Amino acid sequence: MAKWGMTIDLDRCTACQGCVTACQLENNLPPTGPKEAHAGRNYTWMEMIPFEGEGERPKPIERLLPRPCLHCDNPPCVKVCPVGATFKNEEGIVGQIFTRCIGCRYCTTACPYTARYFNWVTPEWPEPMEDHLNPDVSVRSKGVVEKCTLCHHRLQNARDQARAEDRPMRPGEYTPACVEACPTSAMQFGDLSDPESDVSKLAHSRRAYKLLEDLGTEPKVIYLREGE
Amino acid sequence: MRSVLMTVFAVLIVGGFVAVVYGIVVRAEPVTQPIAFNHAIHLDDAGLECLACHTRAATDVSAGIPGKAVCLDCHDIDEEGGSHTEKDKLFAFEDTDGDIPWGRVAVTKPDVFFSHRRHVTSGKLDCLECHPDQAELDAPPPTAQLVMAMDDCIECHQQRGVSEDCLACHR
Repeated sequence: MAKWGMTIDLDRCTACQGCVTACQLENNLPPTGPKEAHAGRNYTWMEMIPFEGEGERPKPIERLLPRPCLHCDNPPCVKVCPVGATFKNEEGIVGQIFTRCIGCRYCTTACPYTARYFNWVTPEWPEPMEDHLNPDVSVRSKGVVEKCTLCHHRLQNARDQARAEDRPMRPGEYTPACVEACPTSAMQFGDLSDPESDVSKLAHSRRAYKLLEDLGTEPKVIYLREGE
Repeated sequence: MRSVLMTVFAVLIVGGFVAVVYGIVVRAEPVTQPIAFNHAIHLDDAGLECLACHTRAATDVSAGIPGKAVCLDCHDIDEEGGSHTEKDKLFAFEDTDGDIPWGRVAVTKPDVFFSHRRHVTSGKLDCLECHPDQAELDAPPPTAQLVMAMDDCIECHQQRGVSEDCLACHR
């Protein structure tokens, strides 16, 4: 059984936010507009988190860290959901069944990476965009929590194609939209349980580290530190 | 008397909630189709396979409703014109720009993703396993013949040992 994971190389990342836009288009994330943004209610499943980098200039260099849901192997969000709307599946993807969610927001509080978002308003798109939503992904209603699904629909499509051609799924056939859009190949995706996969080798390299590792959440999105 | 009424009321509320939550295919408004298509004649007498007309069932999420080009592949106005009312309705569409305006009788809920391709091509299921009554239909039903609940899906998935992952159907 595959264990899907991702590495993000902070040396290669230019903070272009191509991954953010690709994710929004792939997963039908509506633009929230200035009013909601001002209230801090923007939501992007892939978010650029600002942090202070190292440096000896007059002040430390401001950096941006691309942060999807980290799909923890020990996910705190799953433990607190009172209705079983969120769970970790056999392949390690932390899923969310949007129509089962009651919007209690325990999970948004429990997630140490702030990777979960509550829908404060009914989603609306500007006129030309509403006709071009991705039919493989639902439009979530107001009042539920949503999050990155590692583009699970792409896994299903890749698997269907492989079965139709009566062959095993090839590495690289299932790639989330953010990884596909990255112009510098800073993001790598694949099966962490395969020691020969590129992502597995990177995840076990000297530069690899996990966000807030001491919490024991065991994230499957692993960062490669910069400057080495 | 009051407790009986309360019980009936509670059953209606709970029953309605369960039907809304667990039904994955809901009936659309009753539809009168432009042609009284006879499935029984096509399957039994003509010996056609379902996929002969519903070609997208093997390759796409939706099985689709065949357009006039599929019908006119077999039916010829010179040989059959004027012989049968329903066939004449088909031939009336032959020289028009538009296609036959078939009405949709079943829709899945917006959060449920059912793929015909996954069941027909990957699962190698016969269409009649899920649509058993379709072969006996001599006229189009005004509403969906098949109304499935999540229990039906789960039961079949358990019997066949295939994925019961929530993400397989809900997104």
